[in-house]
Amino acid sequence: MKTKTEKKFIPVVNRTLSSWIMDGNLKLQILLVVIILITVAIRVVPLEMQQRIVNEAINLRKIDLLVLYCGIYLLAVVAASLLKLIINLIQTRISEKVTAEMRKQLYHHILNIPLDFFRTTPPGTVVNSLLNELNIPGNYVGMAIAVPLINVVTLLAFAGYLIVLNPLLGVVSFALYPIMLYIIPMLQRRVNRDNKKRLNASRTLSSKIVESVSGIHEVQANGAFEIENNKFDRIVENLMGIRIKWTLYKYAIKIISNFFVNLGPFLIFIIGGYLAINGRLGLGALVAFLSAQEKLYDPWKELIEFYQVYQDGSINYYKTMGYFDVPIDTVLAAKDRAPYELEGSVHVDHVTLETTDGIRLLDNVSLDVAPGEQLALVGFSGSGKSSLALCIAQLYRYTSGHATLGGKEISELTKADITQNMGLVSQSPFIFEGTIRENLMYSYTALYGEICTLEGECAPELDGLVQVLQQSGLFVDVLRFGLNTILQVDEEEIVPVIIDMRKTFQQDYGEAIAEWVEFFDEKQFLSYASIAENIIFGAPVTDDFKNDRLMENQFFLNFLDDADLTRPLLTLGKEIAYQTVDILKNITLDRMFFEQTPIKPEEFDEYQEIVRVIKNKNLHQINQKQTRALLDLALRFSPGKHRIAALSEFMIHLILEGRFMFKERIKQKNDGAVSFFRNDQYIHSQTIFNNILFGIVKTTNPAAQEKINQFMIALLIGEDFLERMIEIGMNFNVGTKGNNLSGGQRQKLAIARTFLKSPAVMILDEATSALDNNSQKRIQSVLSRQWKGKSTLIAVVHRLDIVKDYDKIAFLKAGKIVEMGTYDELMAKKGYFYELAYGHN
Amino acid sequence: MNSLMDTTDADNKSEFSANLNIFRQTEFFSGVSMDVMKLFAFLCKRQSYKPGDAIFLQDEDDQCAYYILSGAAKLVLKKDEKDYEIREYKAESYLGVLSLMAPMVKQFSLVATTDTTCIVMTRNAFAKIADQFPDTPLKIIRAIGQRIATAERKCVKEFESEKNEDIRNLLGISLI
Repeated sequence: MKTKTEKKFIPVVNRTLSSWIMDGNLKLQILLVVIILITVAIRVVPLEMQQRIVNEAINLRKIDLLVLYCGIYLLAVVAASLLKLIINLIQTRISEKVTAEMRKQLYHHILNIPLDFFRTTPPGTVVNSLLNELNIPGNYVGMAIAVPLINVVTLLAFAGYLIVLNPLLGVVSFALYPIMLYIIPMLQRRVNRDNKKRLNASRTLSSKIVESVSGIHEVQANGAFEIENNKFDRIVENLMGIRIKWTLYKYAIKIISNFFVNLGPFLIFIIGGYLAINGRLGLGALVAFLSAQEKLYDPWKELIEFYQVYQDGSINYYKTMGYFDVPIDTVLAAKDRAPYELEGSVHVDHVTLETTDGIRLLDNVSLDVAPGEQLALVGFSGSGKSSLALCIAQLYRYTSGHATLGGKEISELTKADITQNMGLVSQSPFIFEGTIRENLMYSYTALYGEICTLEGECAPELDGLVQVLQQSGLFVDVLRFGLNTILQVDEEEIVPVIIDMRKTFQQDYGEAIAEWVEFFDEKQFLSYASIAENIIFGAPVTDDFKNDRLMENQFFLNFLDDADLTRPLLTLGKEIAYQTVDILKNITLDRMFFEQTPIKPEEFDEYQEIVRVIKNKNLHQINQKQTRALLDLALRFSPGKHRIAALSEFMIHLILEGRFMFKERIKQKNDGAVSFFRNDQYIHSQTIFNNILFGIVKTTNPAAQEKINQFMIALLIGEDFLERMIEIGMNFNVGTKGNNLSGGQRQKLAIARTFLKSPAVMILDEATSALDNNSQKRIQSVLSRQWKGKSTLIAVVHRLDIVKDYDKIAFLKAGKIVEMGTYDELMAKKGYFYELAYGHN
Repeated sequence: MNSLMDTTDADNKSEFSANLNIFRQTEFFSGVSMDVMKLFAFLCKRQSYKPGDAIFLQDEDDQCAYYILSGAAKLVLKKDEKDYEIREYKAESYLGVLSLMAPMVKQFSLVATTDTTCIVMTRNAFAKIADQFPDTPLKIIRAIGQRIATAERKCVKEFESEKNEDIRNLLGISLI
């Protein structure tokens, strides 16, 4: 029943490899052919010149002719090289263009493949297909016209020239090529065959190694060394045999190729020599023949290489495209109309969803939801409640029955229609790399276009953003991100405001929080600040006292020596490097693993190398570069944050002593390089939060942390700074896959982005499962108070205490709706719903 | 791992090595390799509580497992607005290990009765470890399984010897 609006459109996965050769490259390919023909013509010139140099210039002893012919020769060689360069450029351009185009089209196709496909397809396969598998096919397309054309034409031109020069000798020169044309592909097939065998044998070998390493306990416990050795030896010997054959065939191709090419001059010598002696061939012609023999080798080699690229390219291409050849059952957008704006009624009529194995995930389900009504789908896991929600959202295709949205059959709607009218929040929503704001705008932007991201007229107002943040409960989190921001220079205008807030905060809450906070007090060690910050105890004014420049700052290094800090810090740095490398040596690096160590992910390799080198050395034996690296590490160490090492009381005392000494020295020798922490100054190295506190929270007690946060919010409200802070917080980077957010925050963000879009129908698929009780209840109350009557809501719900306010509850069991009604009706019925609500005790 | 600074001063051990020492003696980690245990010790965090503070709350999935390092806490069940105190946990107790592996709402609240410090492991951190060492969850599930079986054996014994009918309905939990 699909609309046949599109013209003959062949999905990328069904295109032949050769269809790419001309597609969009016609002009380039024509240009290429023209340049090739010129090149070939020019290539023949040196042959003719050779002949003339020998026959005319040398024989007749004419210097002027020699110069002329040599000049032409040189010109031809230079021109041919230049043209070859241009050919290569064009060829590369075509290759890369086609590869990029294949990638783009395949990616577009992949994004549209029904969800089912991705359950069995590891992301790695998709990555590999898009990154690697299309390179050789792309190369082939770039070569497809140029290489065969230039080489075949060159061969023919040479042949033509030589035959004209001397028919007999010309024929002899090429007599060997048909033989090669027969033998080489035959050998190549053997190479391919043995190559496949080799791959298989290598795989067997590696699984054998994996097996014995994982089962090493058993091997050693049983003393089964001989058994295992024999098994292994047999596989290795088999592989050896295959490899020898494979290599021999490969060499055979080379040797035979070389042999025939070398045989050429032999034939020329013997026959040409005979003819020359008899005076039937000029000496110049003989030279031309000999040099042509050599020149024939290159085009020939290139043709053979092209043949191999063609074979590999076809295999890769069809394998890759075949893998993703999955029918796409939705149309992105209708070409002849704008997306429908539908009212939010959902009508499901005898819908069945059957998997290809014949399992019925949904079995004859019928229900009705009026616009603005709220329906909860409940049941045990596997009952089909999520499947039903996803069918309505068009992510699953029901196999029979009807489902309509605003009176239109859902399976016939385009993606654009669905996007226009529906918003889905899934259980584990995906958050993309970028800021909170970008993610908040994701659905909105997808609907209204990228112009509407920030400044466009269609962009949502800040009030709108703040409202959905409040509705979803993400408001407090965003506030927190804002407070945790370290200000950039371009936001300086808020600095005086924050210093004012600091004063108010100290007055209002200073005493209440005293025991939970390390204040920036000259006499107190800050365990949540780095050792460098503890020593300097101020904000650098000149660049050379910035944290990342300290290791180049001789003043600072000298100070460390004089304060007796260098040695203990080196020892600490060594300890941190040792421990971190020991813990993280064999794992894939993930940001989370680096929260508890001052080593950054990108530095790990460097420190691993240092640890390897200095392993058995004492501190006095390590070089300056290593010393600096370890010292740097120790200076970045913050004992409250990095749990990998500890500081002794003695060391803390030494650092505090150092702090005073440093201050004195700066005043004497470098006054003004550092502005020391003062209650009336902004500290640029610290977060806004710490600036307001004028200290760092030290308690690990969640209740106390919560209390401080509440004080902080009260302050922001009092100072009318809440919205500005939200704006700052929305610039927080959520990290890859939203890794910098908790599961709950991710869900709240996903809910907020759907609220922002405000669709006619909202589908929430266990959208609040990662939230704590209070947040769940809050969102539920927002849904029933602010969204009822506005958007239709279909929610898959796993907790029954929040379904009371729904207009209807459908209880699903084994793909069927077994009960439907209001909360009170279902409770009164004492059926499945009642059972689930009260358990079976 | 020889700790360069800490060998002479036991109190001055890093949190990481202290955690590692504790985990090495724990039944839940008996099957896992040293590399995995180190990651656990590395990714754990400590939290402190005052008497009366909730460590976790009934009906919430806080996605954490706890080891009580010092102090004590009571397990409380709230039912029909009444609090029932189930038992008290002292230092060296583990709670909520299953929460690391699957979404799981806590059925009870845990409330600190004295100044208490816990080592806390999150599901997220556990997932990262499982990404690196995929057989970790399986090994821990084995330990959990054994623990459930042991608990069940104890109940069965009690049921047989004292004919304690009250626990009849609870029997069979190891068959889940």
